[in-house]
Amino acid sequence: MKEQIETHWAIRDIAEQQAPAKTIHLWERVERAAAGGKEKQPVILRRRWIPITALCLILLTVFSSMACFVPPVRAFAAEVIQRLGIALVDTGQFNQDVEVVGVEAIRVTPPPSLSIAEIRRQISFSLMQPSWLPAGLDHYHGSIAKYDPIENQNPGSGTSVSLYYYRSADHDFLKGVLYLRANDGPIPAPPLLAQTREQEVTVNGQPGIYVHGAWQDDGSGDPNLKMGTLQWDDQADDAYLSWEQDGVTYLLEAHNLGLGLDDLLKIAASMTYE
Amino acid sequence: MEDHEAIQQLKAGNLAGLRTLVERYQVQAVQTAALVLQDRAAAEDIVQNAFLRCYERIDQFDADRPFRPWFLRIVINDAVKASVRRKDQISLDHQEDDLFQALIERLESSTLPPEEAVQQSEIRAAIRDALMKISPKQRAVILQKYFLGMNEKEMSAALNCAPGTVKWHLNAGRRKLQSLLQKLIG
Repeated sequence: MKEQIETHWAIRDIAEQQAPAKTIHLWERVERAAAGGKEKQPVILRRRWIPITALCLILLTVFSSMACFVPPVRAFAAEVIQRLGIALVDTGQFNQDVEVVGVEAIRVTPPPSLSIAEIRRQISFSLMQPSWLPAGLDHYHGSIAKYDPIENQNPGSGTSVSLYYYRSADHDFLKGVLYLRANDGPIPAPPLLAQTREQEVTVNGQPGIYVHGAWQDDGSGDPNLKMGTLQWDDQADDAYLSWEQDGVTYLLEAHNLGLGLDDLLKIAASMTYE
Repeated sequence: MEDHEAIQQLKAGNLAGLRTLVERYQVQAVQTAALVLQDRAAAEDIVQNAFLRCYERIDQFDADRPFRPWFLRIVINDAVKASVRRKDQISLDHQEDDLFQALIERLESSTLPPEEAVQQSEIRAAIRDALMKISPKQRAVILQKYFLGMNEKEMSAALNCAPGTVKWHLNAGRRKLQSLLQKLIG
C-alpha cells in the first residue's frame, strides 16, 4: 500500500512506543458519549474552559458586589439604567422591609367640604352645578385642588374642582357616588378608559364622550410582583361623561349607582350657573 | 464494511457505522495526536472528541469524498491547537526551522532501517528529540508525510496552507543544515 511505503520506520516505532496499537480501544468511550451518556468532557476542553469560566464568575461576582454594596457604583448603575429609560423596582426588597403589624384601619380624612358658593369664590372660572340629581344622592362634599399647570402642561388656572354626591353618609364609594370634576382646561390626571368603548355624544349642544364599564383584573397576577391581565368589563357599574362648555371641561362619573348615558345627560342638562 | 457504507449507516443514525470508523482509524489517529502532543491521555481525548464531532456533523460530510484525510485533518488540527496552547515545544528562537529541515534530511536518508540495532536506536532517539524541538505545525507536516503517508495535496488541505508551502518545507530541508541533528545524535 502506498501509505505503508511512504511512512518512516523510525516514526512508526516512536508512535508505537508512545501509544501501542494494542492498547488503543476508544469505542466504548465514543459510544457512551455518542449515545448521550455522561462521558466526561475531554481533558483538553476542560482545561480550556475552566479558567475562562472561573474568570467570568469572578468578574460577575465582583461587579455584582460593587453594584449592591458600593453606593457610588450602585448610583452609577442606576443612572445608566435610567438613561435607558428604565426604572427598576425591587419589590422583593420592599417585601423584606415591610413589617406586618396588626393595626386598625386608618381612613384618610378628606379635606373640609366647601360649599359651591365658597368654591366659586376661590376659582377664576365660572362653575356650573347640577340642579337635578337622581334620588338618594343626599351627601355632598366639595373641594378644590391646586396643581402646577406648567408641570402638568395644563393651560388652565391650576385649580381643579371636585364635587361628590354620595348615597351614604359615610361617603362610602362602594355604596354609590356621583363625582363631578371641573377645570378650566383639560382634566388633570384623567381616568384611563378603553378607547374602543368611547361613544361620541352631544351634551348641552356640545360634543362629548361617554364611556360605560371599567377595567377588571382577572387575578392572574402576583399581588407582590405584577398585575394580572386587565380586561374591559362592559357590565361594570361605572359611567363617564365628559364635555367642554364655556371654556370649562366637565367630567361626570357615576359609580355603583346603576346610571347610564340618559341619566348622565339628564344631570348635565340640569347644570346651571345658579 | 467500506468507509462509505459505514458513513451511510452513520447518516441513518446507526452507531454500527461509527464503530467501524472508530476501530479502523483510532490507532492512526491516537498515535498521530500522541506524537504531536507527547501526551497519550490528551491524544485519546482529542481523538474521542474528533469522532464525536464526525458523528454530530456527519450530515455535512460528502460521502463521495474519502473519510480518512477529512478525519485526520480534524485530529491533526486539534492536536496542533492543543499543543500550541500548552506551549509544548521548546523555544529555540529561530533554530526550529533549521532543526526541521535537518530532521527531514535525516528522515529522507534513513528510509530503510540500518541492520545494526544500535544504529536504529540512535536514529530513533535523534528523531524523537528533534520532533519535540520543532513547532507543532512543523511536527504535523512531518507526521503527515512520514507517518500517515499523505501526499502534498492532502497535507496542504489538512494544514490549511498552499501546496507550495508544504513543498517548500519538505524540499528546502534537503539543502539545509544537518549539523544540528548531528549534534543531537552526538
